[in-house]
Amino acid sequence: MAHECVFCAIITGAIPATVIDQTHSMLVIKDRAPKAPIHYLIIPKKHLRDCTALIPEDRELAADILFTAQHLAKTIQGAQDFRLLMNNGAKAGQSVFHLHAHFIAGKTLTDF
Amino acid sequence: MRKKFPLVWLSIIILTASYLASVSLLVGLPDCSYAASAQARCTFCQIIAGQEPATVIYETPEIVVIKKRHAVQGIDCLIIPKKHIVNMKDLKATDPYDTCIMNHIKDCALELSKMITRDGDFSLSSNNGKDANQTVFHMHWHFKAPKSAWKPTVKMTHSPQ
Repeated sequence: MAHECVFCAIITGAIPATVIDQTHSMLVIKDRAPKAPIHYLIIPKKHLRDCTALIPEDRELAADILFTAQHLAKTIQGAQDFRLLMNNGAKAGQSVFHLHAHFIAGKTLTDF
Repeated sequence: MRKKFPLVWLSIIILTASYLASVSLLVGLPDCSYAASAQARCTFCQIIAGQEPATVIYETPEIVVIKKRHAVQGIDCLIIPKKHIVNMKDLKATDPYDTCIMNHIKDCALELSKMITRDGDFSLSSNNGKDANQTVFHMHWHFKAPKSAWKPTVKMTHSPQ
């Protein structure tokens, strides 16, 4: 866990969040500023700055991000079609520097 | 009569075995033929097979990266697994290729960020399903970076818009 990381604090329960799902390696919470009817954040519990910090030993963790998204699509009504988005670096729009994937669904997306 | 008898039975056995083998092949064919015909119609599979032109920026044994034909804004490339996977919903937890794919995509993205961008910042996005605006049903990730991040020393066939 990293100090002063809001996601680490959410993972430990120090900061409240609306938890959608949880596994041994992942936490899924609602995004506070949703861009779609369904907008969740898939957050690895291990503190990594962004996806470039993943090492070969994190292979299972990286796969878990995709399989968590797959599970959400299967189990959440209206989430069958979804976009998964990861921003890496401030100039790419990353605002919390703890690896996370945006799971966006619930409406017809027309942009790329 | 005694000499002909075994030959008759041998012929029957051979014909029966051939018939059973052909039936088992036919039973297996529908899945194979569906997958084969789906891949034959897939634009990305054709690009990967070299049957359809594309500007390949980077390639590994598992992944190919091409320039998007109609870049929306800035740097816009497609990271495409060579295996025909429809989208994330198609991934199998028991398939070693599928379980390693995110690592390969990440490695490609890191390499691209070093090749193309000044500061290494980029976004990765994947659309899964028609309502998510997936237009080619072969899993792919959009690698994007703003125009300002483009390294001027890197020559690309077209300039970022």
